[in-house]
This record gives sequence, structure tokens and C-alpha cells, in this order.
Amino acid sequence: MTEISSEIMKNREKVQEEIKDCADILIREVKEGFLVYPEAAVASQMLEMPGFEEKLLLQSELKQGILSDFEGAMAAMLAGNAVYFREKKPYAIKVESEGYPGLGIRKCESEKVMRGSQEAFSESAKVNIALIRKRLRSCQMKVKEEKVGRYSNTLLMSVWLEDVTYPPILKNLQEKLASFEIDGVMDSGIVEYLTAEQKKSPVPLYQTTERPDRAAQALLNGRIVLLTDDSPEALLLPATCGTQFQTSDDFYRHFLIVSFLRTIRYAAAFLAITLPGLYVAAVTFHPQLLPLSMIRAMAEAREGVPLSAAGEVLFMELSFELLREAGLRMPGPIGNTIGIVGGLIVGQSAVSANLVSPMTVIVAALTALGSFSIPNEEVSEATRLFKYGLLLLCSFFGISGAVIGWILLFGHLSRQNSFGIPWLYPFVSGEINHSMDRKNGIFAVANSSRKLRPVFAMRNNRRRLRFKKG
Amino acid sequence: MFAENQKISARQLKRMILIDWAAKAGLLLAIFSGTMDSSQYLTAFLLGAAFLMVYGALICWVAKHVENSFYAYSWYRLGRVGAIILCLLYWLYLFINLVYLFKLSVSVGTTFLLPEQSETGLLLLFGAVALYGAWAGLEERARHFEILYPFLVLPVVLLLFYTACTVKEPDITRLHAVFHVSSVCLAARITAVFGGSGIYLFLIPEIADKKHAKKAYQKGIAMTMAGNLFLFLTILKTFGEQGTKALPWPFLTVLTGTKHFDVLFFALFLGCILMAMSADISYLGFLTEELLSAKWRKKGMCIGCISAAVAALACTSYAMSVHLYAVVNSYLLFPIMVFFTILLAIIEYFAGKKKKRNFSALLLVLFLTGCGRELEDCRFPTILTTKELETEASDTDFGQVQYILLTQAQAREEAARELLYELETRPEISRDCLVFQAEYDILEGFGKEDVLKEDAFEEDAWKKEGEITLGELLYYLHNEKSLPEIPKLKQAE
Repeated sequence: MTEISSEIMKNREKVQEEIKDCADILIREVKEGFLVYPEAAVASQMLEMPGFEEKLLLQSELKQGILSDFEGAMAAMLAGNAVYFREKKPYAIKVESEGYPGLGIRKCESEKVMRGSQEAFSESAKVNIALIRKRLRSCQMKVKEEKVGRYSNTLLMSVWLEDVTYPPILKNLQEKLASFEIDGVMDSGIVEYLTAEQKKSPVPLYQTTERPDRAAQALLNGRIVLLTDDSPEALLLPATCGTQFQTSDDFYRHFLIVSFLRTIRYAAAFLAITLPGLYVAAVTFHPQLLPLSMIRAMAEAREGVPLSAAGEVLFMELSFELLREAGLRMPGPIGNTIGIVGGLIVGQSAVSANLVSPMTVIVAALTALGSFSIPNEEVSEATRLFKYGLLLLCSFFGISGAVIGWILLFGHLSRQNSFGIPWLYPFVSGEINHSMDRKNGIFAVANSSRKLRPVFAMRNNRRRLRFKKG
Repeated sequence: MFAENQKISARQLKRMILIDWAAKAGLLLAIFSGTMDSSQYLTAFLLGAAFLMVYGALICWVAKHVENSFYAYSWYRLGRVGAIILCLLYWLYLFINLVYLFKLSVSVGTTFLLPEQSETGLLLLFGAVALYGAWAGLEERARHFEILYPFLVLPVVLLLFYTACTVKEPDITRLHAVFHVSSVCLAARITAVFGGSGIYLFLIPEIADKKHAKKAYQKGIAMTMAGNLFLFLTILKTFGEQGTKALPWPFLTVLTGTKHFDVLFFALFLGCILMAMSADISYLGFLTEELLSAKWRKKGMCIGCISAAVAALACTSYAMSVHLYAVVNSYLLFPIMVFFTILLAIIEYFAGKKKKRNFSALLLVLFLTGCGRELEDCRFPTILTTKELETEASDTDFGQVQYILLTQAQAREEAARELLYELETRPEISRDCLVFQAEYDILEGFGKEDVLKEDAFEEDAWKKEGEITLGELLYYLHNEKSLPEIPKLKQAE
């Protein structure tokens, strides 16, 4: 660490050397010293304000926002603040400003809900923390800031509830964050994959959310929220299969409706992985699985189709992937149109051209619908990969391939842990928390019955709800 | 952390036991049902269940005293050699079990699911899947079993219920338990199918909640047995007694009643077998680790898996693997394993000084008095007449019989068939015995004085019109439409 000199000229020379060839960083002469600041982050109105220089002198006398070393002063400046160096003072002063421009608070796009807040995280970690603080107005909500990225110096904020979060999970996170050094962190995804326990698995071991209410709910459940500057998505940890299939309005709606919807989501995930494989197995190996009338209809429909059943399904699935990718990359409304219209047109045309049978189009469409119904995008993406594995096995080994595929898949999933919690929780090891979480697995329990916090919370502080007498 | 304590829960243990046994027991027990009539089998089954519960209770009792490692415990109680022998016994038992499961999986695969696939290809695939399942640590494997349980076992149970409901004449009231000596032998064989349950002793230190573990273990046994009983009754009512005997896979064929879904059932059942295989492979690795060192666990699994696959390939038929299982596991290893468990229980019980003294006294008394029957108190007839069979006394031992004499009436087709079925159920009577028919007065002439008289009919006083053994007659009974004429035995003039 280099100390700040009390000779203003020395400090100025050092700053000039440091910001050499950085056209966006400016030096401005002020009373008894100089200011250094990134041009885009500090509003010129603030600098031109009458009495601004007097305010600087007063702040310096009061030692508000004091920075005693040179590296700290430069880091504060690069974070989007102005830094004031004054004559005969061996310290600098941080002058808060608006900071770098960002998108600001948006409406939720990827985690739409029927009920609840529509606010979404912005791209500034500071704003995001405020959005969570707005919902949890307690000093028990602790925030730890740290910088990652050798060049990006990205701000990373870990948020937790002091008397609720299980300390070993927090310790584990801190160890993981300290375990790597990288040039830059542009998004939370980089932190996620650098700290993942199983780096080769496509299964998401963190949960992402763009909803502040969801992040706040996670904190109440004893989980930790990780916010990354310049990323509109917060990482929630630990993440399990149970949490990945929950939506934030699961907590705001009637438990019977939620149970029904969750069942649909799990069935959708099963469908998204298995349906193409099962179709190929049934058509190619085990037609006895189908009623005779259906076999006849399918056989007639397949007449003249040059591809095998597996080839047909693979063709349709890849076409849908293509449409999905194209829809994602195209600008908003056009992207949506491509997804829907493209699907219809490609499907219809493929059937007319005798390239695929109508049943294959139905299978591909149902599979796509299944994957869209999964509330978490990362899980949905993983299911897409698993689907192809299962399709391959089924095309070689029929329905036994499907069973073998599921055995392998569950074998893989049972090896995944997220910060010490099995990924398949609460469907495995559910008794850890008196089987309470298992009851809230596929079927939801009434809010009034959810008296304990989930497994993530501290052992001796699991009570979340208590009814007052009288 | 919760997920890294390498402990498994009681619920996981129960599910591991159920998946591990469901597949194996379903097929093995169904085979046994073909060896005797239904009522006797029912008795044997109930007896077997009772034996198993007793054996389970014994295992649980011993397990209660195991703290860190069963191997260390058995070393402490039996000495190093005893512990090694016990581990080797389990290793061998599990190996033979794995050979059987390999053959079973391939047979089910090629018979019901993928008839066009080659056996070797399937064997490789199934071996790879099972090895993958076994590769993880105990905790991950327990989770694997726990999550697969509702997907593999519950649909099978539901399909079974469906089949049971579709049976046209579900009247099983005429079936009742009939006790027969052979039922005890079969009961012992039924118990032997679950002999591997002793591996639970090795798992004990890894179970988080030992109090519930015992309950889960016994529940697992009870549920498996109840499931198999239900299965047996369903099979019986679906195919009838003779039909069941005639079928090579009654357990699987019964599910064809589910019409479209039978394939689904076969695949799920195959899944159960694969998981049972993965359990066996992982236990092989676990035992290798106990015997050698931790770095041998995965090597032990690979060696066990590959050699079992090779052995399964060497078994030319499924029946051969069943036979191997029956001979090595049921008749040889299981009794020794039970003996060791009992020995451990006795040593544990008499572990205190005073108890040790009592134990020594008990052993001494046992040696002096003996538990068996004395040689001189027994009869060993060499000539067996039906009269002998009817008036079977407790002191008679048929192990020395050389000749079976029938009356002319008994030698007629119908009566002879009935008698042969009866003789077939008596494993103590050798298949090499010569069978003759003789005049009634000749038979009357044989009494107690003919005991221990060797080669009774080789003398000149007797004239034989040919020779046929019991084994040959039994072969004709099962494989030919009619029996050959039984040679006559006459007195020389």
C-alpha cells in the first residue's frame, strides 16, 4: 500500500502517471487541491453547483469519506466516485456521485408471476441491495462487499440474515470466493461456474433470480444471496431441486393450487426429458405399448417418410432448438413471432413434404412445451441436454434405454451437492429437517402449517411462524 | 455439512433393501414354487419368512453392538483370521449373487425386451450401468436408491395389483398351508435367497439413526416377503398350479395380463435388477477395501464386476446360474454365514467374565451330550418298500437305500407316476436306486432284519428282468408321455 503524501504536487504526479492515456478520467482543479473522477460517472451539474468547493473543504476538515492509501483512493475513483486530494493533507476524500450509468429498475421479464411484485433487479449491485433492504428492514440483514477481477474490480455482495443463515454455508461461500483470481467478472454466471462444486455437470447448483422479493424470501429461509455488479440476476444458494421448481408466487397462493401447478411442472420436466425417447422406443421396439388403432394411424402417417423414427424426432427437435435460438437472438416482438409462427410453419411444411410424420411434430411440440414449463431457465437448458442422451439410448435399447437413462440421470443427480445440501433434496435425505421440507416438495403445504424454516436455516433457529394466543 | 457426513438414513436403508431384494427375490422364489404343490410351498414360504425374521433379528442384535466398523468388531470377537474369513464369505456370496443377477438381467433383456440384441452387448451395457451406479460413495448411492424407489418399485406394485384385479377367478380360499418335511428344506432355501442381508452388519456404522435402522431393516424384510407372497398368490390364481410349474418365468409372464403395459413393467423390473447389481458391486468394493486398503475399493469393484460378467457369460443358461446360486450360496455359503452370525451373537452374549464361564460350561455340555441323533439309534434300510414309506419312523434314514420295491399294482402307469412324484420330493433317496416290481408276498418277506445288508439282490437266489434306476424313471416321468415297464424281481427257482 502506498501512503498519500501531504505534498500535493507529489500526489498529482502520481495520479497523472496512473491515469496516463485514460481519456475518460479527468482532473479538475478546485480550491486547495484537485479532483480526479471518471467523466461519465460524475455529473457535471454536481461539480458546477454553487458552494461545491466549500463543501469539499468542510468534508475534508470533518474527515468524511476518508481514504488513507493511494490504491484505495484510485479504486474508489474507478468505482464511479470523485476523489479530492487537498494540500498538506496526507489523505484523500471520496465524493459520492451518481455512479456509472445503468438500466435502472425494470419490470420482471423472465420470472413472470400471477401475483406479487413486478419489480426486477437492476444492473447495479448497490441498487439491488436497496431493493432487498426495502423488503427486509432489519439490521440482521448483513452485507459483505468484496472486489473480484484483476482488471474489472467488480463489486460482489454477499447478503445473509445473521441469526438465520447456517454459518458453515457462509464460510464455505467465502472460501470459494477467495479460491480464484480472474481478469474480470462480467456477470454472475462467471462467479457461479468458478465456484461450482461439480464443474462438469450441467445441473445448476445455484439458483438465479431477477426478483428482489424472491431474493428476500430466500434470505428469510436462511439462504445466501450473491449480487454481482453489472448483472441483473442474483444468485441464491444453496439451490436444490425443490427450490428450482418453486416460483415466488408459490408462497402467495393457495396451497392446493400451488400443489397442482408444481405437479404439472415436475410432469413437464419428465415429459421434456423422456417423451421423444419414449416415442422412439414405442414406435421402433415396443408397438405393443400402443393401441392397435393408434398403430394403424401412425403407420399410415409414416408411409413415405424417408427418415427413421429416431431420425424424425432428432430432426424435429433440432429444428425446434434452431427456432428457439433464433427467437432468442432476434429483437423482442420478432423473436416471439419466430418462435410460434416458425414452429407452426416448419412443422406443417415438414409434414406436407413427407419429411416427418404428424405424430413427431406433436411429440416435439409437447416436449418443447414441457421444457418451457420449467420455472428455472438453467434447469430447462439441462433437461434439453438430457433429452438427447435419453433419445440416443432409447433408439438403441427401446424402453430399457429409457430406464437405463433415468438410472444414469438420477445417479448423476444424486452425486450433486450445493453447498453441502444434496441437489435432490427434499426428495432424498428429507428427514434432515423433520421431513418438513419433503412435505413441501411436490405438494405444497399451507402457509399456516409451514412453521419451520427449510433445511438451509440455522439448526437452533428454524421457527418461522408462531401464532399468538387469543 | 449435511450432504458430506457419509451417513445414510433409515429410510434410505429400507429403500436400498427393497430394491436390492425385490428383483432377485421375485424371480428366485417363483422358481421354487414350481418344485412342490402350492399348499406345501405356502407353508415353506411362511416358514421361510419366519426364519428370515429370526435371522434378521439376530443380525440386528449383533449390529447393535457394532460401533465403528463391523470388520474391526469381528476382528475383536473372532480374531483376524475369523474376520478375514467372514469378509471373504460375504465377498464370495455377493460375487455369486452378482453372477446370477448378470445372467438374470441379460435373460430378461433378451427374452422380453430386446430379443434381437446380443447377450454380450447387453452384458457390457448392464455392467457399465451397474458399475456407474456403484462408483459413488455410500451416501450418494443411498440417495440414488431413495430417488429411484418411487419410479421403479411403485409402478411394479401398481401393475401387480392391476394384474391381480384382472384375474378372473380370484378364489384362493381353497389354498391352505400344509406342513411337510420338505417344506422346511425349501424354507431354508427361501431364507438363503436373502442371505446377503447380512451385509447390513457392514453398513451399520454408516447409518445415521441406528434406532430407526433396525425398524427399517425389519420393515424392508417384511415388505419384500409380503410382496412376494402376494405375487405368488397372483401367479397361482393366474396360471394354476401346473401352469406355474410349466412356466420358466411365472413372475414375468403374469404381468402380460397388463396387456400394453407389460413392456413397461419388464423395463422397470430390469431397472431394479440393475440397481441390485450396482449394490452388489459396491459391496464387493467395500469388502475389498476392508480386506486390503481404501485405494482398493474401486479396483475391487472393477475386478468383481468384470469377473462376474465373464462368469455370467460362461453360464450357458439362466438355469445354470440359478443352479450355481443354489449350490454355492444357498447350500454352502449361507449356512456358514448364519453360523458365523450365531457365533458372534453367542460370543457377544457371553462377553462378560461370568458369562464366559457359563458359555464354556454350555459348550462342554453340548459336546458331551451332542445335539444330533446317535448312529446306533437309527435304521438304515437298503431296500425300500412303500410300506416303509408309509410307516416312516423318526429313526429311519433313507440315505442308504439301494433298491425300491413296488407291488405290481403300484408299478402300473398311474400309480407309479404318483409314487414317483412323491419320491422326487425326497432328496435323501438317491437317484441311482434300482426300482423293481415284485410279488406282494416277496415284499411281505422284507422286514427289519434286512437293514444294513448290502447288495441284497445280487445273490443267485434272485432273478432280475432288467434294471432301471429311479433317476431314469423320473426322467421318463417329466420328458416322455409314458413310463417304461418297471423290471420284475423274482425268486430263482
